[in-house]
Amino acid sequence: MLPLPMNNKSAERRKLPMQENINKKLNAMQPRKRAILCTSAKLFSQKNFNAVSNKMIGQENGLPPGSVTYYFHTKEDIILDLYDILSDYQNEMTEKLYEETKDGLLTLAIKIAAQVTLCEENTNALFLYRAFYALPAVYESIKSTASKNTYKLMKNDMPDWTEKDFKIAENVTSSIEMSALTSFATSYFTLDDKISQILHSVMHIYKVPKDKQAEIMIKLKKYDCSAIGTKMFDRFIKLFDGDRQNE
Amino acid sequence: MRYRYRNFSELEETIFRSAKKLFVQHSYSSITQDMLSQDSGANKSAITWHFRGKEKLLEHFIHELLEFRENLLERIRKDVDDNILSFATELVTFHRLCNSNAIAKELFAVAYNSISMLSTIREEFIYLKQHYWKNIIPELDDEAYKNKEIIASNLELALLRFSETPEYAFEDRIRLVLDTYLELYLPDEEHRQTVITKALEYDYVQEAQTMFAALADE
Repeated sequence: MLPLPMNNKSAERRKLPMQENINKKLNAMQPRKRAILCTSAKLFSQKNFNAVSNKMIGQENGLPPGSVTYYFHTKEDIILDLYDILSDYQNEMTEKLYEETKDGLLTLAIKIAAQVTLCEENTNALFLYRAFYALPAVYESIKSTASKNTYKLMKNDMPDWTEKDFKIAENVTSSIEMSALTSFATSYFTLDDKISQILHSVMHIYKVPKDKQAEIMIKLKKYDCSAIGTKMFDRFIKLFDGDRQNE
Repeated sequence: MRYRYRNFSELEETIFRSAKKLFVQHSYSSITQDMLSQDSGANKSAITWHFRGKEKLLEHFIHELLEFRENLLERIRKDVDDNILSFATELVTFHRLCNSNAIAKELFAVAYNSISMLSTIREEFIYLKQHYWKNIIPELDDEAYKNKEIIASNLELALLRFSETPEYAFEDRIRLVLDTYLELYLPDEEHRQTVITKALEYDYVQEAQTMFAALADE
């Protein structure tokens, strides 16, 4: 069954961020393509990324076999489109956080800490993020969008850094963020240790002095990164719920 | 070699030997099962039965690749006294090699990207660092090396994934990565900067190139 185009009334009622923008992006797609993307987002949040097959996505939608392959050649293409939407959404979230904290560096720290915590607690999110970082095409787009985003956040604090400098730094920081996804925290190496180690390396790249680093780490403790991360991921998945509500 | 427990049959040995040759001479993505079967003379289904595919073969080959890096380190240690400096020089040499040799770069990028091979690589480097750096950095315990390696190994992946363009030079990038890498172990700014400057001066790329090529007919 094909879903109807999404309707903005329901979006207003639920007041999700970015809903309108994302609806625009989704509505520009062919209906079936849109349905596949929405279902796969839902499936990726419920199951391990590697366990979701093209066949499963098609069955969920009641589409004939092979249609997923027709619209997206591989799962990687789905991931690329999903990341496109996730990056828009993350930009919006960081802007909101920035209004709240009024501190570019702290916002960046919260963003990274929330992502690490989310991936530690939610295995499905972990596999999805790992897929984002592992695919060369998505990785390139992570680097370009994240460096623009970081530039926007930090340009007031670091006036002598150009956009190019941020791009070079982002190459390395994105790898540091990825390192969090490759191993779990243990009782010897707790989540807090992991976050502080990652943030320390990231801040070292942005040449933040030691006392400022300690200050950020203390401020970070006031924020509940676990709640922020979970909320962000749940809302992101909910963005794709639009057409389900109308059926 | 510490981690190699191989119990290959004769056929498996033949397949593995030609896989080694292909890995060093062709880019990883271009290697097909046809090439493997042609080179080794083994049946295609035999290859699938024994190894499933090239991923499994690379998982065996990663030990040789790590041995190559260890040999490179040993070679540099002959000239360079300082343990940390020789380690940094090895890192620079290895990544310069990868920057000029697309085959090596792709091969290592695949290995660093796979979780199972990454853990093998990490074990190796944790061992090496614990072994060589114990006297120089006494304040770090064994646990600390394990934790820091998580970031350190991924910093190498950052370099392996980066391709050089006129605007973004490789030498700038390696400086930044090396600085972040060493900062994990050496918080002392002055010491670190002298190590970095010296490490970037050494040039062993030519030797590394021959050592890498020699992996094919080991």
